[in-house]
Amino acid sequence: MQVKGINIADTFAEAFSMYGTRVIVTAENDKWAKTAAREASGFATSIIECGIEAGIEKKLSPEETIDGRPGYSILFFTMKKDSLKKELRKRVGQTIMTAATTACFNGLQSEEKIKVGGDIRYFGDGFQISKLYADRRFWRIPIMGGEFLIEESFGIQKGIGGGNIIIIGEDQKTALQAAENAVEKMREVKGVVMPFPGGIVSSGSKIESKYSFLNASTNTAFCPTIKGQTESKLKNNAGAVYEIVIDGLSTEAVAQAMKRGIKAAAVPGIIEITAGNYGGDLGTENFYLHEILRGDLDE
Amino acid sequence: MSKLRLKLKEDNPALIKRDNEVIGKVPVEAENINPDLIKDLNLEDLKNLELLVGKKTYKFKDFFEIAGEPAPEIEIYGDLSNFKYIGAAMTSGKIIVDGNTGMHTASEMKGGKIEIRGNTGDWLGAEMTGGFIKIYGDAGHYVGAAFRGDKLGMNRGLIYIKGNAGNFTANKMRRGEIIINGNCGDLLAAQMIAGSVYVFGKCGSRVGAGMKRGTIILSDDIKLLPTFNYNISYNPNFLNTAYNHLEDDYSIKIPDYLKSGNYARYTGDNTELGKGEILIWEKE
Repeated sequence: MQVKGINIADTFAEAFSMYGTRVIVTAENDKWAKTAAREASGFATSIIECGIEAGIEKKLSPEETIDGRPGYSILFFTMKKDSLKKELRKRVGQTIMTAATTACFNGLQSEEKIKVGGDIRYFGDGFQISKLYADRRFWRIPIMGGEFLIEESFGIQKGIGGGNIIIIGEDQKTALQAAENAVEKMREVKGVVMPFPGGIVSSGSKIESKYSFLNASTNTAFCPTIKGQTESKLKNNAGAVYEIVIDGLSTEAVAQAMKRGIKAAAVPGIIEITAGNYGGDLGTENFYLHEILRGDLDE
Repeated sequence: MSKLRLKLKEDNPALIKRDNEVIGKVPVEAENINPDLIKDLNLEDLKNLELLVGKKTYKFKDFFEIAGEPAPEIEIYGDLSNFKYIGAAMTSGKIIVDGNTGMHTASEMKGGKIEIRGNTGDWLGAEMTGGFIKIYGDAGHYVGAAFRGDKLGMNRGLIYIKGNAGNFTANKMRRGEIIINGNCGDLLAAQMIAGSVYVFGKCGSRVGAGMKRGTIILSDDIKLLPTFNYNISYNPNFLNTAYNHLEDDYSIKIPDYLKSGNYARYTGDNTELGKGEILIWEKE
């Protein structure tokens, strides 16, 4: 299959079932809302080393937030509910509450919830105040900058982690531009984030290593500088490879993001667009690129 | 969706007459005006539903011209200011009264909505635990309060009064929200335990006397009890969330001036726990 003359590999992205949540952070102005959102979603590229995966989903206008201030929605993902609660409590407590003028709200209406603000409230040392508005409980925590408002519980749901596409280009500039195009289009899809820096993975990994103390190492089959030394999956003219990892709140959202990303990345100078998998034995969801492009998952 | 329409007969058994002139009304115990009860009845049973008038028992058909069919939504037309307990303990459905109602309207209400397009008496929404009450006119004393000897007043739900409210509003209130667009009598939120009360008009004396926790938001200055401490003049962000919630979830219009500017924050009552707060909007 080809998209705009670019070859699309007949393969699949192997993804995993994860728990996800959406956190809304607001602040007095965009500068502080963005600062808090970036801090909260920073160092959250892969659960393997970061404990959580996160990214900014969308910028929100004052009309879109519950307190009428500018904000951002952030998606967080972990493998287990307990770890999501634990990691979220740390991140909200250390990066959002500490950022000037911020407030933090649940952005995912779901039956299943985890208590976050309900735990962070104890920071108020007995001076915290509960407010219950239409079955949503909030906590007002007195802080040095004034008051920090946080919702007691955040909705969680089963989501998908590890959807991906791999873009193989003739040179670094072309491959990177194609990846940037893809990320830009993927960001239009609601319910997905690309947790790596700028949404792009420059150093994708394989789940093995020659060293016994490492669980993962550089994805040698896709490293262009050693393609003569290894069993490479790259053609001779391949100059750079970038991967985009997608976490989403639903299978449909991840598939939609992959579809848009592939189409946007199909530009001259790209040799092939493929996806990463482990043979299908590890993941819980396989996203077949040809199926996605045919729109099979749209229905 | 079907509705039940009840029109109060001009000549009904509750009227006290002398020489064919109405000189008063006997209170009517009307707790049977409740969607939970009415929605499952057939028309004949509805007509024979009882209403206690003094020591005598009458039937719905003696009081009302009945139209429509038994349904979770009930519209009532007429001056029901001598009807007590309308919507008391209701859990769902909707009552609209195009007129006044008497004491205990929606007391112990658990859910649903009641809308009074006139005035209402004392004990409106007393000890309610859920639902939405909207009064277009004035309410009497003890709005959302605890009954005599009880420990907890209103505990969840929302009461919106477009007019004025009497004394002891929100007495011993535990949870929920009361919004008074007009003025309020003395002892607002006395012995309040938690919840939120908003008064957009003027207040009587002794606001928050004996309150433990909870928030009172006032748009007009008051003479505070000496057992409250001043903390700060600031613009509390949580009020944005609160005001948006009232406008979006209940279509309650918040005066624009309250959405900006500073509020003086007082905490007390120090004769009690001292964790209650009174926020007073500061005129420029």
